[in-house]
Amino acid sequence: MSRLEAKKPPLFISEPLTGDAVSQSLSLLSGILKSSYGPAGRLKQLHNGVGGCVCTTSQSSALLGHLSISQPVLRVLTASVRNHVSRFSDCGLFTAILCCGFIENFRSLNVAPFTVIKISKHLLSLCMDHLKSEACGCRVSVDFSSVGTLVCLVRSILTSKPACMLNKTEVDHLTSLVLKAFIFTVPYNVETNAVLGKCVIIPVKGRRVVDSTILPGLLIETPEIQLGKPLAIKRTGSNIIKIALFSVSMSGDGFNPEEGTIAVHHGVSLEVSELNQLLNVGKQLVEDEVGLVVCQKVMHPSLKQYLKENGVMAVDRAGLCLMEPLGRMTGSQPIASIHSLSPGCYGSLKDLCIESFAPKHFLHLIPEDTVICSLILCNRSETAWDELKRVCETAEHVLQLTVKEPLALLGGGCTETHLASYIRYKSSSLPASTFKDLDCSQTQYQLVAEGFCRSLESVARSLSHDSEEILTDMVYGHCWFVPSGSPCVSKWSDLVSKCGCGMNGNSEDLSWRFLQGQSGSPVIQDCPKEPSLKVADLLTLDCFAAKCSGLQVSLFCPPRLNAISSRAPSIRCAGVKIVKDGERGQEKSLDVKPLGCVLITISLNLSTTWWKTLAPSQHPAPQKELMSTTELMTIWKKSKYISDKEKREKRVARKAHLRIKPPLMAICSRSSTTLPAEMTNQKTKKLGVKVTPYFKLEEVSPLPLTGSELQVELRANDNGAGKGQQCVEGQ
Amino acid sequence: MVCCPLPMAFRDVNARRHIGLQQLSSLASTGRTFLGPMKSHKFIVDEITNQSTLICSAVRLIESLDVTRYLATALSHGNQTSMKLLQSVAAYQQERAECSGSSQINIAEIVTCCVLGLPEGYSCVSPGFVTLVSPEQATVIKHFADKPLRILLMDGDLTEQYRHLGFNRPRNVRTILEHPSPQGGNAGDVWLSRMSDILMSFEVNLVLVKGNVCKNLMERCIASRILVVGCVARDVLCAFGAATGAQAVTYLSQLNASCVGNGAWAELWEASDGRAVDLGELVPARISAGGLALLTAVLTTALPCKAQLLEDQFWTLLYRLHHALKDGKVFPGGGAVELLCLSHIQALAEQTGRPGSNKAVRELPSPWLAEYKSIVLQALASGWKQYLSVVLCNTAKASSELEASASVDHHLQKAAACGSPSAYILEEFRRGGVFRGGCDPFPNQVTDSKVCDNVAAKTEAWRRALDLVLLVLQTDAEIITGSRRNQILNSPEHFAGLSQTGSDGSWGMLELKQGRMLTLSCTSATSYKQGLASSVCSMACLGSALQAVCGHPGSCSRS
Repeated sequence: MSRLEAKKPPLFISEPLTGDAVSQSLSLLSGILKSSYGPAGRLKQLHNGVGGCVCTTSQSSALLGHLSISQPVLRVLTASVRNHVSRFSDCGLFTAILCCGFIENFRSLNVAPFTVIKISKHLLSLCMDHLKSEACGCRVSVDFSSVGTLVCLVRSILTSKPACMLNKTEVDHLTSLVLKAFIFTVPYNVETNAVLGKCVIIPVKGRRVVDSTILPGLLIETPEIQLGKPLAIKRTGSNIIKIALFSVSMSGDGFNPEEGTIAVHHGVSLEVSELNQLLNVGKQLVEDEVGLVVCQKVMHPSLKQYLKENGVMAVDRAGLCLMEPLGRMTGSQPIASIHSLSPGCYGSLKDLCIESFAPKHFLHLIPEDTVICSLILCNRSETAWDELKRVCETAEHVLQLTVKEPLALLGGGCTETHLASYIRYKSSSLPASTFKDLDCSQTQYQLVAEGFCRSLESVARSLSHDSEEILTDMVYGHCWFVPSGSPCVSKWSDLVSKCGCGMNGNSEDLSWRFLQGQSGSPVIQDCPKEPSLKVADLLTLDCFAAKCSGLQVSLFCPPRLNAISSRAPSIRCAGVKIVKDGERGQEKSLDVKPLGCVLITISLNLSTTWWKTLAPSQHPAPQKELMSTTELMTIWKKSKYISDKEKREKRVARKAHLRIKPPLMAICSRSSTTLPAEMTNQKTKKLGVKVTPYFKLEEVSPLPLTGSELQVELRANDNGAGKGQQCVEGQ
Repeated sequence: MVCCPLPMAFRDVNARRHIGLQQLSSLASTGRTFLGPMKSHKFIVDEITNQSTLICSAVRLIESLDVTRYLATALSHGNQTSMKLLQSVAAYQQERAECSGSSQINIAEIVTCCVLGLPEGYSCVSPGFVTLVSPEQATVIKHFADKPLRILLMDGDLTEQYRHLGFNRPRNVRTILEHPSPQGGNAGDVWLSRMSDILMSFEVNLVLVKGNVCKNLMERCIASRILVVGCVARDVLCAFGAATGAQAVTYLSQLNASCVGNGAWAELWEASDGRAVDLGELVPARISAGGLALLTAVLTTALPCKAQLLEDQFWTLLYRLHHALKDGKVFPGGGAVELLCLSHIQALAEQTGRPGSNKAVRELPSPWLAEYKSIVLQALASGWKQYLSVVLCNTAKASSELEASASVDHHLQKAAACGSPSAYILEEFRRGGVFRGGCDPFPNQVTDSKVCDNVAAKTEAWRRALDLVLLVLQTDAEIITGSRRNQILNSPEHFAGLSQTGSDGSWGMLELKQGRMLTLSCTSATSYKQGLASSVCSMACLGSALQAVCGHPGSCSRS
């Protein structure tokens, strides 16, 4: 049966931010995000309504991943935030709330959108320059020679998500585990190109959090292992254990044809001949003095029996997510075929033992020298475990990001209020030449700056969920919370004991004022100072890199969306256009810039299957999203078509396998506007991936990182190239 | 984003009158009837199949309920008169502890077998593996007499079609038959004779199979006097492997001499008085081997609907003992530890109520928060008190909740007056139980047996109950995802709380997962059985915690 449908013309949405539907959706989304923010955030119960499992969370990645949003503007917004989270793990809610704040505040201004963009970009550069300067009062430097600041950083992340259901002792325990895990991943001998290792999280659900522990090396779950028996493992002359790692299935069904039919004569058993081949591999392994065989998939019981009888330990169903760290830790090359076995592919281990974390049993692989470790993570309930896992991964990632840039920002709303104070001070003292450069009046600048500051302060305000009053002080520009229902007192210092981040106490008079600021004229104030010494030992800290990126991402999106209004002066204006894909009902955004190059996008949803066919070593580095065509082609050629069988297996595979990786993108030169033949052939169709050229009018967007983020959600249709061009010209 | 409910409505979800908590509360009130040794059993009737089961644990209750119909109608299914716990179950544990000689109980070495048709008095513990076999298999066993048997263990199914897990059946493979064989024997017969040939050639007498066994092969084996038993648990296979030296195989074609074990024997199981066990279709048989570390608790009952109940009770008690030995300590039971907690919480509440008097107050960000803390503590205390009252009523030590409450107050006053509440309560416990007075029918009777509670199970249950309540309390919106379009249900009436979806909050060790079915958070049978042990306590405490936090301002703070 075929279905015919008239082709719909491309749709152009002008003024995407106006209209009741958008503003209602926006305020609903921002309501959900704001109510989830911070350590006292309210939880959201996500489920499919037909009996699926329930996720109780306040994490942006989980929330945005589950919401299917139909408003194009909000889709761009959530795509930007999700891409930010995939790269920095932290500050997702911050980015999203700030972004909503910018849209809400800028929309109501009576200033031309193009001017808003220019002024807000200038304000952003003021913020970024301030954050990067030594004099910045809302950042602290991280000293890796002592754990103090690191503990604060990890603690802040662990306590920011209440659905983990942790008490004080448990937070302390996990903080030390996360730090230990991080230390394990730092190589001993640092060379010029030091690469941090990996911490693999092993789930043990239903047990107490304090039962969590960390071990160097890797653990493979082995339900069949016999406890109490000593492990007899064959070692080589140099007293190491040789390990062979198979990524190919050894279950003995390799003769299954993917297509077509195999005809065999009566009496010939394909199963038997396949098993004989497997046993030959076994013989080779025994001859090569291999002591441990690990298979990602299933091993035939006869092969396991043969290996066991010959003193070789065999472990199957290790799972995809262990393969990369296993190969890296043991130095072995995953063997992808049972027909070729080269001695160079074996790796080595120092020791093997059995670890038991009731009710699970694991084989513990201990290497000589490792940057790989296993965090056995326990929590009482499944939903709390899931939340805790995401939080621990975020903490590990944040520590790694902090190595690159040993700085942290003050949490608890203090960075936001401090930046707002700084911007208010700075915008009141700008020279007239600035306004001339920006082609705007001083009043316009002040209006936009006030909207900018209110957006920042709205993030700090989102930390309050029980109608607490929020104050800011005029000296340091920090954020202070007054508990709800407080009595009337003459002095604010009687009500507040310390600021949100814990840096300042109430000992001196800091001339507090309300952080409402919605009405009345902007307050003129001095440049906020840097606090001289901290009061509390435990500061609330945020990841520097993640927050800086969040700030940029959140501002990149809304002002440009504003520029789509009919008043957008010319094609030269930098702006994001949203084009509805008539056929699939999905949106495309196009960054319109002069000059030419072709952007190839493989859409996020569809590329995941393709991605999974690649061996981990073939994965492009996550941060490297702009690739040359040659690179893309190399990867493309290495990928293969996934059969239904493998898809079925993958469905059975653990959740972790199904994690969506960032999409690929390529920018190639103008000359190759048509795609290479290989990329549009039958294989492409089978994979369900659509690859389409897209016209873009400038090389790379001015903000290199954020530019690529928006393009993540680009969806292409069959003749996207033509449409893309039309759309630009049509303007 | 559908419907675009207004943000104000969205905020309204987080009202004090929390629907989710109310639903939890009603479920907990049912759980309370399971408290204490005198449980109110529930008779669960399946209206479709007309099968009925008697239950006495919260786990089974939740399992049997269609919670989506979230509750009142389901619970009104009658309430049979409470039945006495089987005294004999305690005796099994004693025997088990003596014969193992160690203080720890290895749960993996114990199995249960329900024998229907005998009175309950015939229940006993048998060394070895007792299972039900068909009369034909029983004939084979009779033939064995006292002969030592060669034993084979199989860890899959024993059928022609069975392949190991992860093996994909070939499709698209066509067999070409060039010369049709004149005999025309079909493929199934060939497999049967090959398999029975293998068994004969290795002189195997006994095959224990983890999965199912092909009927035709079973018949052939019976004809060749080979006993094949299917559906044998993995732990049993392991125990036989360790005792006889047999190594489990997946296919008979794998068999070599080293896989076959020696020295097993089989006999028909007899009741303690040698009474013939002729129970119709299935006959209990006992299979064992020298040094086999396996015990079977044979649970006999004349009522088929009680089989589940007996099995649950056995495992509950067994796990209690197991945990007590593992913890190395127990709580004074019969409400003693709860009374101690109650007196402690009350003391804390009073201290907090006095302004500026203690350390806890100074830890709070602002002094007037202490007021809330005191309210929360008092609410928690009233939750505990209700728990104790229910225990007293359920154990018939008080005739009404009012009387029970008065009795608790009386003890609390005495404990406070004595200066050291813990000393008072321990002394009372030593003298035969805290709440032995009141309307105890035999006030002068001195009992030697004291009631004790598990430490880890109880404290975990408290913590999980509180976690669950806090999780539900902190949730302000439900978001439906997936194929149906997204909706953010903005009215509190739609808040599903725990009962529709489970919210994945732990319930004891349980987790509600699907709208209808309730599954466990851990996949293993071990934790499932642990769940049985702790669920009652958890349900009750949940009730207490709910009482404590419902409807009080500032209750969200996790003090």
